[in-house]
Amino acid sequence: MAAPFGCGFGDLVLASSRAVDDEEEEEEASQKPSPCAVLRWSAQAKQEISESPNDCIECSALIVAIGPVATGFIHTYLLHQETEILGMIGSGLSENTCNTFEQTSPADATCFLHRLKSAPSVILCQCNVDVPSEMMFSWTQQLFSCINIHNTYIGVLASAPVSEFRSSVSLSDVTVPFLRGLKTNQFHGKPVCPYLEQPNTVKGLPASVLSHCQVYRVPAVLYMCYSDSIYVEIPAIKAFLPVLKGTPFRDIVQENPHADITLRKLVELRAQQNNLYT
Amino acid sequence: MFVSCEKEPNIPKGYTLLLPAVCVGNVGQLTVDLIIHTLDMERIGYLHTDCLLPMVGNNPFSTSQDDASQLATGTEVYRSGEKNIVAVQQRAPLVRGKQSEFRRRLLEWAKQCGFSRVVLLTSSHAYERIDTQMTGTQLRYLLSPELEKSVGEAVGELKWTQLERRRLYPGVEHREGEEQTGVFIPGGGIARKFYQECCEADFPLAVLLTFCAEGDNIPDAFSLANYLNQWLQLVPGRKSGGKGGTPQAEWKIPSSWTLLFGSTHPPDLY
Repeated sequence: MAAPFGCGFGDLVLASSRAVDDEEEEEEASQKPSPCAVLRWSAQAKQEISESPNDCIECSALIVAIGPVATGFIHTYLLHQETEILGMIGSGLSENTCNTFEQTSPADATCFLHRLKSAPSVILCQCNVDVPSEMMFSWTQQLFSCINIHNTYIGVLASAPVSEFRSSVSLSDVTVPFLRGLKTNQFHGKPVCPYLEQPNTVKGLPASVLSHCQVYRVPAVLYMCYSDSIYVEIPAIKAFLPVLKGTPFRDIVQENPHADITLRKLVELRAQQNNLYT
Repeated sequence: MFVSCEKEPNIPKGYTLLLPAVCVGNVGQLTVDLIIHTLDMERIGYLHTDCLLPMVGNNPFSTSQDDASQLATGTEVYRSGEKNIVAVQQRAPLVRGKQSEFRRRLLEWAKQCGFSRVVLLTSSHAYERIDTQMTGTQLRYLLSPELEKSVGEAVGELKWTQLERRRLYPGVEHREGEEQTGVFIPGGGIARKFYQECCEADFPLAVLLTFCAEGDNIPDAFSLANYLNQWLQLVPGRKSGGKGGTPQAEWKIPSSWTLLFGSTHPPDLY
Protein backbone atom coordinates (compact mmCIF):
# COMPACT_ATOMS: atom_id res chain seq x y z
CA MET A 1 0.00 0.00 0.00
CA ALA A 2 1.53 3.31 -1.01
CA ALA A 3 1.47 6.32 1.26
CA PRO A 4 -0.74 8.93 -0.42
CA PHE A 5 1.63 11.91 -0.26
CA GLY A 6 5.07 10.50 -0.82
CA CYS A 7 6.80 8.60 1.90
CA GLY A 8 8.73 10.86 4.20
CA PHE A 9 9.66 10.68 7.83
CA GLY A 10 6.63 10.42 10.07
CA ASP A 11 4.32 9.16 7.34
CA LEU A 12 2.18 6.27 8.35
CA VAL A 13 2.87 3.33 6.06
CA LEU A 14 0.42 0.51 6.54
CA ALA A 15 1.77 -2.99 6.31
CA SER A 16 -0.28 -4.97 3.86
CA SER A 17 -2.27 -7.83 5.24
CA ARG A 18 -0.92 -11.35 4.99
CA ALA A 19 -3.78 -12.33 2.74
CA VAL A 20 -5.10 -9.25 1.08
CA ASP A 21 -3.81 -7.39 -1.89
CA ASP A 22 -4.80 -3.84 -2.42
CA GLU A 23 -7.49 -3.64 -5.06
CA GLU A 24 -6.22 -0.45 -6.64
CA GLU A 25 -2.73 -1.82 -7.17
CA GLU A 26 -4.23 -4.75 -8.98
CA GLU A 27 -5.99 -2.49 -11.45
CA GLU A 28 -2.67 -1.06 -12.62
CA ALA A 29 -0.92 -4.40 -12.75
CA SER A 30 -3.64 -6.02 -14.82
CA GLN A 31 -2.97 -3.61 -17.67
CA LYS A 32 0.36 -5.26 -18.44
CA PRO A 33 0.47 -8.53 -20.36
CA SER A 34 1.65 -11.30 -18.09
CA PRO A 35 5.08 -12.74 -18.87
CA CYS A 36 5.45 -16.40 -19.79
CA ALA A 37 8.25 -18.92 -19.51
CA VAL A 38 9.92 -19.94 -22.76
CA LEU A 39 11.19 -23.41 -23.67
CA ARG A 40 14.00 -23.79 -26.21
CA TRP A 41 14.93 -27.16 -27.65
CA SER A 42 18.32 -28.08 -29.04
CA ALA A 43 18.50 -28.80 -32.78
CA GLN A 44 18.65 -32.51 -32.07
CA ALA A 45 15.57 -32.42 -29.83
CA LYS A 46 13.65 -30.32 -32.33
CA GLN A 47 14.27 -32.88 -35.00
CA GLU A 48 13.15 -35.72 -32.73
CA ILE A 49 9.95 -33.89 -31.85
CA SER A 50 9.13 -33.22 -35.48
CA GLU A 51 9.76 -36.85 -36.39
CA SER A 52 7.76 -38.35 -33.53
CA PRO A 53 4.13 -39.30 -34.21
CA ASN A 54 2.72 -37.27 -31.31
CA ASP A 55 5.13 -34.30 -31.43
CA CYS A 56 6.66 -35.34 -28.14
CA ILE A 57 9.96 -36.54 -26.74
CA GLU A 58 9.66 -40.02 -25.29
CA CYS A 59 10.27 -40.12 -21.56
CA SER A 60 10.12 -42.93 -19.02
CA ALA A 61 11.31 -40.90 -16.04
CA LEU A 62 11.45 -37.16 -15.52
CA ILE A 63 13.52 -35.83 -12.65
CA VAL A 64 13.03 -32.18 -11.76
CA ALA A 65 15.56 -30.60 -9.39
CA ILE A 66 14.74 -27.13 -8.11
CA GLY A 67 17.15 -24.91 -6.21
CA PRO A 68 20.89 -25.18 -5.47
CA VAL A 69 20.72 -28.13 -3.06
CA ALA A 70 18.63 -30.36 -5.30
CA THR A 71 20.49 -29.45 -8.49
CA GLY A 72 23.79 -30.05 -6.67
CA PHE A 73 22.57 -33.51 -5.77
CA ILE A 74 21.55 -34.38 -9.33
CA HIS A 75 24.81 -32.90 -10.62
CA THR A 76 26.81 -35.19 -8.34
CA TYR A 77 24.89 -38.42 -8.37
CA LEU A 78 23.17 -38.60 -11.76
CA LEU A 79 24.79 -36.17 -14.17
CA HIS A 80 28.27 -37.64 -13.84
CA GLN A 81 27.06 -40.06 -16.48
CA GLU A 82 27.36 -39.00 -20.07
CA THR A 83 24.54 -36.60 -20.92
CA GLU A 84 23.36 -34.25 -23.60
CA ILE A 85 21.48 -31.00 -23.24
CA LEU A 86 18.01 -31.26 -24.74
CA GLY A 87 16.80 -27.77 -24.08
CA MET A 88 16.28 -25.03 -21.56
CA ILE A 89 13.40 -23.21 -19.95
CA GLY A 90 13.80 -19.47 -19.66
CA SER A 91 11.78 -17.39 -17.25
CA GLY A 92 12.44 -13.76 -17.97
CA LEU A 93 13.35 -14.35 -21.62
CA SER A 94 11.34 -13.09 -24.49
CA GLU A 95 11.02 -15.05 -27.72
CA ASN A 96 13.80 -13.07 -29.39
CA THR A 97 16.38 -13.06 -26.58
CA CYS A 98 19.68 -14.66 -27.51
CA ASN A 99 20.99 -17.34 -25.28
CA THR A 100 23.42 -20.20 -25.36
CA PHE A 101 23.54 -23.83 -24.32
CA GLU A 102 27.23 -23.47 -23.41
CA GLN A 103 26.91 -21.91 -19.98
CA THR A 104 27.02 -25.16 -18.07
CA SER A 105 28.72 -24.48 -14.75
CA PRO A 106 26.64 -26.17 -12.02
CA ALA A 107 26.40 -22.90 -10.10
CA ASP A 108 25.17 -20.76 -12.99
CA ALA A 109 21.64 -19.45 -13.00
CA THR A 110 20.39 -21.75 -15.74
CA CYS A 111 17.57 -24.17 -16.26
CA PHE A 112 18.59 -26.99 -18.58
CA LEU A 113 16.90 -30.20 -19.59
CA HIS A 114 19.46 -33.01 -19.76
CA ARG A 115 19.14 -36.52 -21.11
CA LEU A 116 21.24 -39.50 -20.11
CA LYS A 117 23.08 -41.09 -23.03
CA SER A 118 22.94 -44.49 -21.35
CA ALA A 119 19.17 -44.22 -20.82
CA PRO A 120 17.82 -41.75 -23.38
CA SER A 121 14.29 -41.90 -22.04
CA VAL A 122 15.39 -40.35 -18.75
CA ILE A 123 15.09 -36.56 -18.72
CA LEU A 124 16.55 -34.43 -15.95
CA CYS A 125 15.57 -30.82 -15.41
CA GLN A 126 18.11 -28.78 -13.46
CA CYS A 127 16.42 -25.56 -12.37
CA ASN A 128 18.96 -23.22 -10.83
CA VAL A 129 17.01 -20.02 -11.32
CA ASP A 130 14.39 -18.31 -9.22
CA VAL A 131 11.24 -18.50 -11.30
CA PRO A 132 8.93 -15.55 -10.48
CA SER A 133 5.66 -16.69 -8.94
CA GLU A 134 3.52 -15.34 -11.78
CA MET A 135 5.51 -17.48 -14.23
CA MET A 136 5.40 -20.77 -12.36
CA PHE A 137 2.23 -21.95 -14.04
CA SER A 138 3.55 -21.29 -17.54
CA TRP A 139 6.97 -22.76 -16.58
CA THR A 140 5.23 -26.01 -15.64
CA GLN A 141 3.11 -25.96 -18.78
CA GLN A 142 6.24 -25.50 -20.88
CA LEU A 143 8.02 -28.35 -19.13
CA PHE A 144 5.22 -30.76 -19.91
CA SER A 145 4.41 -29.34 -23.33
CA CYS A 146 6.55 -31.65 -25.48
CA ILE A 147 7.42 -34.50 -23.16
CA ASN A 148 5.35 -37.64 -23.46
CA ILE A 149 4.40 -38.35 -19.87
CA HIS A 150 2.19 -41.37 -20.40
CA ASN A 151 3.67 -44.18 -18.33
CA THR A 152 6.20 -41.81 -16.85
CA TYR A 153 7.31 -41.52 -13.27
CA ILE A 154 8.16 -38.04 -12.12
CA GLY A 155 10.48 -37.24 -9.25
CA VAL A 156 10.81 -33.70 -7.93
CA LEU A 157 13.55 -32.61 -5.55
CA ALA A 158 13.61 -29.27 -3.76
CA SER A 159 14.73 -27.70 -0.52
CA ALA A 160 13.43 -25.23 2.03
CA PRO A 161 14.76 -23.65 5.22
CA VAL A 162 13.87 -25.59 8.34
CA SER A 163 12.42 -22.39 9.82
CA GLU A 164 9.48 -22.93 7.46
CA PHE A 165 8.82 -26.34 8.95
CA ARG A 166 6.07 -26.46 11.57
CA SER A 167 6.23 -29.10 14.19
CA SER A 168 4.88 -29.78 17.65
CA VAL A 169 8.41 -30.84 18.57
CA SER A 170 10.74 -27.91 19.16
CA LEU A 171 12.96 -27.41 16.13
CA SER A 172 16.03 -27.39 18.35
CA ASP A 173 15.29 -31.06 19.06
CA VAL A 174 15.06 -32.04 15.39
CA THR A 175 18.14 -33.27 13.53
CA VAL A 176 18.60 -31.30 10.35
CA PRO A 177 18.82 -31.70 7.42
CA PHE A 178 15.91 -34.08 6.91
CA LEU A 179 13.63 -35.21 4.10
CA ARG A 180 9.86 -35.16 3.81
CA GLY A 181 7.79 -36.55 0.94
CA LEU A 182 4.57 -35.87 -0.91
CA LYS A 183 3.11 -37.94 -3.73
CA THR A 184 0.25 -37.69 -6.17
CA ASN A 185 -2.65 -40.12 -5.90
CA GLN A 186 -1.45 -42.00 -8.99
CA PHE A 187 1.93 -42.77 -7.41
CA HIS A 188 1.28 -46.11 -5.78
CA GLY A 189 4.60 -46.61 -4.04
CA LYS A 190 5.60 -45.08 -0.74
CA PRO A 191 8.16 -42.28 -0.54
CA VAL A 192 11.49 -43.34 0.98
CA CYS A 193 11.03 -40.86 3.84
CA PRO A 194 8.16 -39.79 6.12
CA TYR A 195 5.24 -37.89 4.59
CA LEU A 196 5.17 -34.13 5.08
CA GLU A 197 3.10 -33.68 8.23
CA GLN A 198 0.11 -31.39 8.67
CA PRO A 199 -0.01 -28.40 8.72
CA ASN A 200 3.08 -28.05 6.52
CA THR A 201 2.71 -27.09 2.91
CA VAL A 202 5.03 -26.61 -0.04
CA LYS A 203 4.86 -23.46 -2.13
CA GLY A 204 6.50 -22.30 -5.31
CA LEU A 205 7.78 -24.21 -8.30
CA PRO A 206 7.86 -27.70 -6.72
CA ALA A 207 4.22 -27.21 -5.74
CA SER A 208 3.40 -26.10 -9.25
CA VAL A 209 4.95 -29.22 -10.81
CA LEU A 210 3.29 -31.57 -8.32
CA SER A 211 -0.10 -29.86 -8.70
CA HIS A 212 0.10 -30.33 -12.45
CA CYS A 213 0.84 -34.03 -11.96
CA GLN A 214 -1.98 -34.44 -9.45
CA VAL A 215 -4.53 -32.68 -11.63
CA TYR A 216 -3.55 -34.59 -14.78
CA ARG A 217 -3.13 -37.93 -12.97
CA VAL A 218 0.58 -38.44 -13.45
CA PRO A 219 2.46 -40.54 -10.88
CA ALA A 220 4.87 -38.18 -9.18
CA VAL A 221 6.74 -37.89 -5.92
CA LEU A 222 8.23 -34.77 -4.32
CA TYR A 223 11.07 -34.86 -1.81
CA MET A 224 11.70 -31.73 0.23
CA CYS A 225 14.99 -31.33 2.07
CA TYR A 226 14.72 -29.08 5.11
CA SER A 227 18.09 -27.63 6.05
CA ASP A 228 19.21 -24.95 8.49
CA SER A 229 21.96 -23.32 6.47
CA ILE A 230 21.60 -20.44 4.03
CA TYR A 231 24.61 -21.80 2.14
CA VAL A 232 24.77 -24.93 0.03
CA GLU A 233 26.38 -27.52 2.26
CA ILE A 234 27.38 -31.14 1.75
CA PRO A 235 25.13 -32.61 4.49
CA ALA A 236 22.06 -30.99 2.93
CA ILE A 237 22.91 -32.38 -0.51
CA LYS A 238 23.64 -35.80 0.97
CA ALA A 239 20.28 -35.77 2.76
CA PHE A 240 18.77 -36.65 -0.62
CA LEU A 241 20.80 -39.90 -0.83
CA PRO A 242 17.94 -42.19 0.32
CA VAL A 243 15.88 -41.16 -2.72
CA LEU A 244 18.28 -43.05 -4.98
CA LYS A 245 16.73 -46.24 -3.61
CA GLY A 246 13.18 -45.23 -4.56
CA THR A 247 11.16 -44.93 -7.77
CA PRO A 248 11.94 -43.38 -10.23
CA PHE A 249 15.59 -42.88 -9.25
CA ARG A 250 16.72 -46.41 -8.51
CA ASP A 251 16.58 -47.58 -12.13
CA ILE A 252 18.86 -44.85 -13.45
CA VAL A 253 21.59 -44.62 -10.86
CA GLN A 254 25.16 -45.49 -11.68
CA GLU A 255 27.50 -45.06 -8.80
CA ASN A 256 29.78 -42.05 -8.99
CA PRO A 257 33.18 -43.02 -7.54
CA HIS A 258 34.20 -39.37 -7.43
CA ALA A 259 31.05 -38.13 -5.74
CA ASP A 260 32.86 -36.64 -2.74
CA ILE A 261 35.29 -34.69 -4.91
CA THR A 262 32.47 -33.37 -7.10
CA LEU A 263 30.53 -32.34 -4.02
CA ARG A 264 33.49 -30.52 -2.48
CA LYS A 265 34.18 -28.66 -5.72
CA LEU A 266 30.55 -27.69 -6.04
CA VAL A 267 30.30 -26.34 -2.51
CA GLU A 268 33.54 -24.38 -3.00
CA LEU A 269 32.19 -22.94 -6.22
CA ARG A 270 29.01 -21.88 -4.49
CA ALA A 271 31.01 -20.38 -1.62
CA GLN A 272 33.01 -18.26 -4.08
CA GLN A 273 29.79 -16.85 -5.41
CA ASN A 274 28.71 -15.77 -1.97
CA ASN A 275 29.83 -12.18 -2.12
CA LEU A 276 28.56 -10.91 1.20
CA TYR A 277 32.03 -9.61 2.25
CA THR A 278 33.81 -9.05 -1.05
CA MET B 1 -10.25 -23.88 -15.27
CA PHE B 2 -12.19 -26.72 -13.54
CA VAL B 3 -10.59 -30.15 -13.91
CA SER B 4 -12.68 -33.03 -12.60
CA CYS B 5 -11.07 -35.92 -10.76
CA GLU B 6 -14.07 -38.18 -11.28
CA LYS B 7 -14.55 -40.55 -14.18
CA GLU B 8 -17.77 -38.78 -15.04
CA PRO B 9 -17.89 -35.16 -13.95
CA ASN B 10 -21.08 -34.67 -11.99
CA ILE B 11 -22.26 -31.29 -10.79
CA PRO B 12 -26.06 -31.41 -11.04
CA LYS B 13 -27.82 -28.18 -11.97
CA GLY B 14 -29.38 -26.16 -9.18
CA TYR B 15 -26.71 -26.79 -6.54
CA THR B 16 -25.48 -24.03 -4.24
CA LEU B 17 -21.82 -23.02 -4.59
CA LEU B 18 -19.91 -21.96 -1.48
CA LEU B 19 -16.89 -19.85 -2.21
CA PRO B 20 -14.31 -18.28 0.09
CA ALA B 21 -12.60 -14.99 -0.67
CA VAL B 22 -8.97 -14.80 0.42
CA CYS B 23 -9.68 -12.07 2.93
CA VAL B 24 -8.44 -10.49 6.15
CA GLY B 25 -7.76 -13.19 8.73
CA ASN B 26 -8.57 -15.86 6.13
CA VAL B 27 -12.03 -16.18 7.68
CA GLY B 28 -13.73 -17.30 4.46
CA GLN B 29 -11.24 -20.11 3.96
CA LEU B 30 -11.44 -21.26 7.59
CA THR B 31 -15.25 -21.31 7.35
CA VAL B 32 -15.18 -23.43 4.21
CA ASP B 33 -12.74 -25.80 5.96
CA LEU B 34 -15.28 -26.29 8.76
CA ILE B 35 -18.12 -26.96 6.32
CA ILE B 36 -16.17 -29.42 4.15
CA HIS B 37 -14.87 -31.34 7.14
CA THR B 38 -18.13 -31.41 9.09
CA LEU B 39 -20.21 -32.52 6.12
CA ASP B 40 -17.45 -34.92 5.03
CA MET B 41 -17.69 -33.56 1.50
CA GLU B 42 -16.18 -35.47 -1.36
CA ARG B 43 -13.43 -33.97 -3.50
CA ILE B 44 -14.58 -33.82 -7.13
CA GLY B 45 -11.90 -31.77 -8.81
CA TYR B 46 -9.58 -28.82 -8.92
CA LEU B 47 -9.50 -25.26 -10.12
CA HIS B 48 -6.28 -25.28 -12.12
CA THR B 49 -5.39 -21.89 -13.51
CA ASP B 50 -2.51 -19.47 -13.84
CA CYS B 51 -4.42 -16.99 -11.68
CA LEU B 52 -3.62 -18.92 -8.50
CA LEU B 53 -0.30 -19.35 -6.75
CA PRO B 54 0.82 -22.97 -6.48
CA MET B 55 0.72 -24.82 -3.19
CA VAL B 56 0.56 -28.47 -2.15
CA GLY B 57 0.30 -30.31 1.12
CA ASN B 58 -0.92 -33.58 2.52
CA ASN B 59 -4.58 -34.26 3.36
CA PRO B 60 -5.84 -31.25 5.37
CA PHE B 61 -8.84 -33.26 6.58
CA SER B 62 -6.97 -36.41 7.58
CA THR B 63 -8.39 -38.29 10.51
CA SER B 64 -5.82 -41.09 10.74
CA GLN B 65 -2.37 -42.09 9.52
CA ASP B 66 -3.96 -44.04 6.63
CA ASP B 67 -5.49 -41.09 4.83
CA ALA B 68 -2.78 -38.58 5.75
CA SER B 69 -0.84 -38.98 2.52
CA GLN B 70 -3.56 -37.83 0.13
CA LEU B 71 -2.23 -34.85 -1.76
CA ALA B 72 -4.14 -31.58 -1.60
CA THR B 73 -3.54 -28.82 -4.13
CA GLY B 74 -4.05 -25.07 -3.87
CA THR B 75 -7.68 -24.93 -4.96
CA GLU B 76 -10.03 -27.87 -4.80
CA VAL B 77 -13.73 -28.43 -5.39
CA TYR B 78 -15.87 -30.54 -3.04
CA ARG B 79 -19.46 -31.80 -3.27
CA SER B 80 -22.14 -32.93 -0.88
CA GLY B 81 -24.87 -34.77 -2.77
CA GLU B 82 -27.00 -34.93 0.36
CA LYS B 83 -27.02 -31.18 0.95
CA ASN B 84 -26.93 -30.20 -2.74
CA ILE B 85 -23.89 -28.03 -2.33
CA VAL B 86 -20.51 -27.65 -3.99
CA ALA B 87 -17.72 -25.87 -2.13
CA VAL B 88 -14.49 -24.44 -3.44
CA GLN B 89 -11.54 -24.30 -1.07
CA GLN B 90 -8.86 -21.86 -2.13
CA ARG B 91 -5.69 -22.33 -0.09
CA ALA B 92 -3.34 -19.92 -1.82
CA PRO B 93 -3.64 -16.27 -2.79
CA LEU B 94 -4.20 -15.04 -6.32
CA VAL B 95 -1.33 -14.04 -8.58
CA ARG B 96 -0.91 -10.28 -8.52
CA GLY B 97 -2.61 -8.67 -11.47
CA LYS B 98 -4.78 -11.70 -12.25
CA GLN B 99 -7.69 -10.92 -9.95
CA SER B 100 -10.06 -9.62 -12.60
CA GLU B 101 -9.23 -12.57 -14.86
CA PHE B 102 -9.95 -14.97 -11.99
CA ARG B 103 -13.29 -13.34 -11.19
CA ARG B 104 -14.27 -13.52 -14.84
CA ARG B 105 -13.43 -17.22 -15.10
CA LEU B 106 -15.14 -17.98 -11.81
CA LEU B 107 -18.38 -16.38 -12.93
CA GLU B 108 -18.16 -18.14 -16.27
CA TRP B 109 -17.67 -21.51 -14.57
CA ALA B 110 -20.49 -20.86 -12.09
CA LYS B 111 -22.84 -20.04 -14.97
CA GLN B 112 -21.74 -23.11 -16.91
CA CYS B 113 -22.44 -25.41 -13.95
CA GLY B 114 -25.91 -23.92 -13.51
CA PHE B 115 -25.59 -23.23 -9.78
CA SER B 116 -28.84 -21.89 -8.37
CA ARG B 117 -26.86 -19.46 -6.20
CA VAL B 118 -23.34 -18.66 -5.11
CA VAL B 119 -22.54 -17.79 -1.52
CA LEU B 120 -19.28 -15.88 -1.10
CA LEU B 121 -17.81 -16.00 2.40
CA THR B 122 -15.50 -13.17 3.35
CA SER B 123 -14.50 -10.68 6.03
CA SER B 124 -13.72 -7.00 6.27
CA HIS B 125 -11.28 -4.94 8.35
CA ALA B 126 -12.76 -4.20 11.77
CA TYR B 127 -10.88 -0.89 11.90
CA GLU B 128 -12.84 0.39 8.91
CA ARG B 129 -16.22 0.05 10.62
CA ILE B 130 -18.56 3.02 10.85
CA ASP B 131 -20.25 3.99 14.14
CA THR B 132 -23.36 1.88 13.63
CA GLN B 133 -21.26 -1.20 13.00
CA MET B 134 -19.28 -0.93 16.24
CA THR B 135 -21.87 -2.60 18.46
CA GLY B 136 -24.27 -5.47 17.92
CA THR B 137 -23.75 -8.29 15.48
CA GLN B 138 -20.55 -8.20 13.45
CA LEU B 139 -22.10 -10.27 10.65
CA ARG B 140 -23.47 -8.75 7.49
CA TYR B 141 -24.97 -9.94 4.21
CA LEU B 142 -25.54 -8.71 0.68
CA LEU B 143 -27.78 -10.19 -1.99
CA SER B 144 -27.53 -9.48 -5.69
CA PRO B 145 -30.88 -8.28 -7.13
CA GLU B 146 -31.29 -11.61 -8.94
CA LEU B 147 -31.01 -13.61 -5.70
CA GLU B 148 -33.08 -11.06 -3.78
CA LYS B 149 -36.04 -12.04 -5.98
CA SER B 150 -35.90 -15.69 -5.00
CA VAL B 151 -34.65 -15.75 -1.42
CA GLY B 152 -35.17 -12.14 -0.24
CA GLU B 153 -38.21 -13.11 1.80
CA ALA B 154 -36.60 -16.14 3.45
CA VAL B 155 -33.51 -14.15 4.35
CA GLY B 156 -35.70 -11.31 5.59
CA GLU B 157 -37.26 -13.68 8.12
CA LEU B 158 -33.84 -14.31 9.63
CA LYS B 159 -33.70 -10.64 10.65
CA TRP B 160 -30.15 -10.29 9.43
CA THR B 161 -28.43 -6.95 9.03
CA GLN B 162 -27.62 -5.95 5.49
CA LEU B 163 -24.19 -4.45 4.87
CA GLU B 164 -24.51 -0.69 5.16
CA ARG B 165 -23.75 1.24 2.00
CA ARG B 166 -21.16 3.94 2.45
CA ARG B 167 -20.83 7.34 0.83
CA LEU B 168 -18.42 6.96 -2.03
CA TYR B 169 -16.88 10.41 -1.70
CA PRO B 170 -17.43 11.62 1.86
CA GLY B 171 -17.23 15.40 2.21
CA VAL B 172 -17.45 15.98 -1.53
CA GLU B 173 -20.60 17.29 -3.15
CA HIS B 174 -21.96 14.85 -5.66
CA ARG B 175 -23.05 15.67 -9.14
CA GLU B 176 -26.59 15.19 -10.24
CA GLY B 177 -27.37 11.60 -11.28
CA GLU B 178 -24.10 10.30 -9.85
CA GLU B 179 -24.25 7.35 -7.49
CA GLN B 180 -23.62 8.54 -3.95
CA THR B 181 -23.25 5.37 -1.99
CA GLY B 182 -21.60 2.04 -2.70
CA VAL B 183 -20.60 -1.27 -1.27
CA PHE B 184 -17.39 -1.07 0.76
CA ILE B 185 -15.62 -4.27 1.83
CA PRO B 186 -11.99 -3.34 2.57
CA GLY B 187 -9.87 -6.45 3.12
CA GLY B 188 -12.55 -8.62 1.56
CA GLY B 189 -10.47 -9.80 -1.40
CA ILE B 190 -12.50 -10.30 -4.55
CA ALA B 191 -15.83 -9.78 -2.72
CA ARG B 192 -16.73 -6.21 -3.68
CA LYS B 193 -15.91 -6.49 -7.34
CA PHE B 194 -17.35 -9.99 -7.68
CA TYR B 195 -20.57 -8.70 -6.15
CA GLN B 196 -20.71 -5.82 -8.61
CA GLU B 197 -20.02 -8.11 -11.54
CA CYS B 198 -22.69 -10.59 -10.44
CA CYS B 199 -25.20 -7.73 -10.07
CA GLU B 200 -24.39 -6.56 -13.60
CA ALA B 201 -24.66 -10.10 -14.98
CA ASP B 202 -27.97 -10.79 -13.16
CA PHE B 203 -26.35 -13.67 -11.35
CA PRO B 204 -27.66 -14.90 -7.99
CA LEU B 205 -24.92 -14.13 -5.45
CA ALA B 206 -24.99 -13.74 -1.69
CA VAL B 207 -22.04 -12.29 0.19
CA LEU B 208 -21.82 -13.17 3.88
CA LEU B 209 -19.15 -11.40 5.87
CA THR B 210 -17.92 -10.61 9.33
CA PHE B 211 -15.86 -7.68 10.57
CA CYS B 212 -12.62 -8.88 12.07
CA ALA B 213 -9.00 -8.05 12.78
CA GLU B 214 -6.09 -10.35 12.04
CA GLY B 215 -5.04 -12.62 14.86
CA ASP B 216 -6.71 -15.77 16.07
CA ASN B 217 -9.59 -15.83 13.60
CA ILE B 218 -11.01 -19.21 14.56
CA PRO B 219 -13.91 -17.65 16.53
CA ASP B 220 -14.72 -15.48 13.49
CA ALA B 221 -14.82 -18.59 11.29
CA PHE B 222 -17.22 -20.29 13.72
CA SER B 223 -19.53 -17.31 13.81
CA LEU B 224 -19.55 -16.99 10.01
CA ALA B 225 -20.21 -20.74 9.66
CA ASN B 226 -23.11 -20.51 12.13
CA TYR B 227 -24.45 -17.48 10.26
CA LEU B 228 -24.46 -19.40 6.99
CA ASN B 229 -25.94 -22.43 8.69
CA GLN B 230 -28.83 -20.38 10.00
CA TRP B 231 -29.84 -19.80 6.40
CA LEU B 232 -28.87 -23.00 4.61
CA GLN B 233 -29.41 -25.44 7.51
CA LEU B 234 -26.44 -27.62 6.60
CA VAL B 235 -25.68 -28.94 10.07
CA PRO B 236 -28.23 -29.37 12.88
CA GLY B 237 -27.77 -26.48 15.31
CA ARG B 238 -28.77 -25.95 18.90
CA LYS B 239 -29.99 -22.66 20.34
CA SER B 240 -27.33 -20.61 22.04
CA GLY B 241 -27.86 -19.46 25.62
CA GLY B 242 -28.20 -15.77 24.85
CA LYS B 243 -31.50 -14.33 23.65
CA GLY B 244 -31.56 -13.82 19.92
CA GLY B 245 -28.12 -15.39 19.50
CA THR B 246 -27.17 -17.39 16.41
CA PRO B 247 -27.81 -21.12 16.88
CA GLN B 248 -24.51 -22.96 17.31
CA ALA B 249 -23.81 -26.07 15.26
CA GLU B 250 -21.38 -28.86 16.07
CA TRP B 251 -18.50 -28.09 13.74
CA LYS B 252 -15.55 -30.43 13.34
CA ILE B 253 -12.11 -28.82 13.28
CA PRO B 254 -9.80 -30.24 10.57
CA SER B 255 -6.33 -31.54 11.40
CA SER B 256 -4.72 -28.81 9.30
CA TRP B 257 -5.65 -26.25 11.94
CA THR B 258 -2.94 -27.45 14.30
CA LEU B 259 0.06 -25.18 14.94
CA LEU B 260 -1.77 -22.24 13.41
CA PHE B 261 0.74 -19.90 15.01
CA GLY B 262 3.91 -21.81 14.16
CA SER B 263 6.01 -24.43 15.87
CA THR B 264 6.47 -24.85 19.58
CA HIS B 265 9.17 -22.46 20.73
CA PRO B 266 12.53 -23.89 21.77
CA PRO B 267 12.64 -24.50 25.53
CA ASP B 268 16.34 -23.46 25.54
CA LEU B 269 15.15 -19.87 25.23
CA TYR B 270 14.47 -19.77 28.95
